[in-house]
Amino acid sequence: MMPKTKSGIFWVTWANAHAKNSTSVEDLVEPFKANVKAFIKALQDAGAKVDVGTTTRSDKRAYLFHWCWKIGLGKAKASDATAMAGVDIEWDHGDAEKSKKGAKEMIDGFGLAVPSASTNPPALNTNHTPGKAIDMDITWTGTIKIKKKDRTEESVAFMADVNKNTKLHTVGASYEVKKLTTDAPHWSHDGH
Amino acid sequence: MAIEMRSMKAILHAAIVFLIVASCSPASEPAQKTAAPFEFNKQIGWLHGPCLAIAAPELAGGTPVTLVVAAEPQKVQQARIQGKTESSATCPALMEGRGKLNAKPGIAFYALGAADVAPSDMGFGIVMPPATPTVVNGIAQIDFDQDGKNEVFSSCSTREGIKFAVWTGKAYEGDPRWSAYHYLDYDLTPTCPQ
Repeated sequence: MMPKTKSGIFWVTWANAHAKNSTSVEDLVEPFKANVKAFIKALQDAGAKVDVGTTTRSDKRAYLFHWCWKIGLGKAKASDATAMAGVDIEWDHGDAEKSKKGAKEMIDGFGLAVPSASTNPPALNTNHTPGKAIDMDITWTGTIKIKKKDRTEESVAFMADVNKNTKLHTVGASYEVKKLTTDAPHWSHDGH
Repeated sequence: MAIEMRSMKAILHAAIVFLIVASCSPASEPAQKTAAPFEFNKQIGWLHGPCLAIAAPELAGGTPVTLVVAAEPQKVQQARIQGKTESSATCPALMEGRGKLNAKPGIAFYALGAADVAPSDMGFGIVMPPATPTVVNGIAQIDFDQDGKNEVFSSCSTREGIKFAVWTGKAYEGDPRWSAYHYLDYDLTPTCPQ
C-alpha cells in the first residue's frame, strides 16, 4: 500500500494534472448532451457566438476543494475528513496547525474564494459532476431570430445581463436546457 | 467713398472677431470649477486577492486605490496600481476555467501593490473616491455622489460565483448603484438573498 501524501501545494499540481474539469460538450450525459448540442447549433445558426466554459466537473477536484476549505479555515478538524478512492491525501499532519497550514496552501493554490461570513465550503455534488450542466458565454449584436425546438422562431435582443434575458431562457427551455438566473454562464437540465 | 466703405467693413469685421474671441475666452468661464461627478462603473471594481478587475482600461502604475475588503468587519486599506496584468498567478480570477468568462470586454485586470490582501480575500477597489470610507458597525460607508446618503458594500455567494454590489442606504434594498459578478468555476452554497 502506497503511503499517503500530506495535504499541501502538491495536491494543487496533482489536481491540475489528474482531476481536471472538462470543457467538452461530448462529456455531458444524454439526453442533456444532445439537447445542449441542438441549442448551441440553433444559437450559432442565428449568428450568436458561443464560448463553452466548464461542462463536467471532477468529483476528485471537488473533494479536494471541499476539505481543504473546511480544514484550512478551521471549520473542520483534519480527522473529520472523509476518504475518497483515487485521492491518497493525508489531511492530518499529526499537528492541528500543520494540518491547517497544508490545507490553506491548497485554498490559495486553487484560488478558492473566502466570501465574508460564509460557513459553506465548495460543494461536493452538483449538476456539473454527472454532466448535467454547462457554463457558457453567449453573445451577439442587436436582435437575432433563434429557432426553438419546435422550429418556430423567437426574436431575441442581446442583453448584457443574460440572467434577465427571459426570451433566451425560453428558447433554451424548449431544448430542455434551463437557465439558472443567478449565474450568468450556467445552464442545466433542471435550472439548478 | 470706396476707401471709407472698406474702412467701415474692416472695423465691423474687427468688432465681430473681438466679440467672438471675448465670448470664448477663459474669462467667460465660471470662476469655480465643480468636481467631476463620481462614475460608479469606471471608478469601482472588484478584487479577488491582490488583483483589481475594473472597467477602466487606462489606469497608470502608481494610481492610488482605496480597498474595501469583504470581511467581518469590512476593512478599508490603501493600495496602488502596479500595472495591468493577464497573469493567473497574480489574479485568481484569471485562472484556467475562470479567465475566459471573467475577462469580459472592457474589463481590465491590475496587480495591486502595497496591499495587505490575502490570495483568498475578496472586496472592492475604488479609484479616486471623494473621501476615505469609514467603517461603522462593521460596514464601510462613503457618500460617493455627495448627495448626503451613504453608499455601502455587499458581497454574497451565488451557485458558482460572487456577486459584488454597492447600494445607497442599505444593502439589498432597491437597485444597486453598481454590481459585478465574479465567476469561480466551482459550486458553492448560495448565500445571496433571493
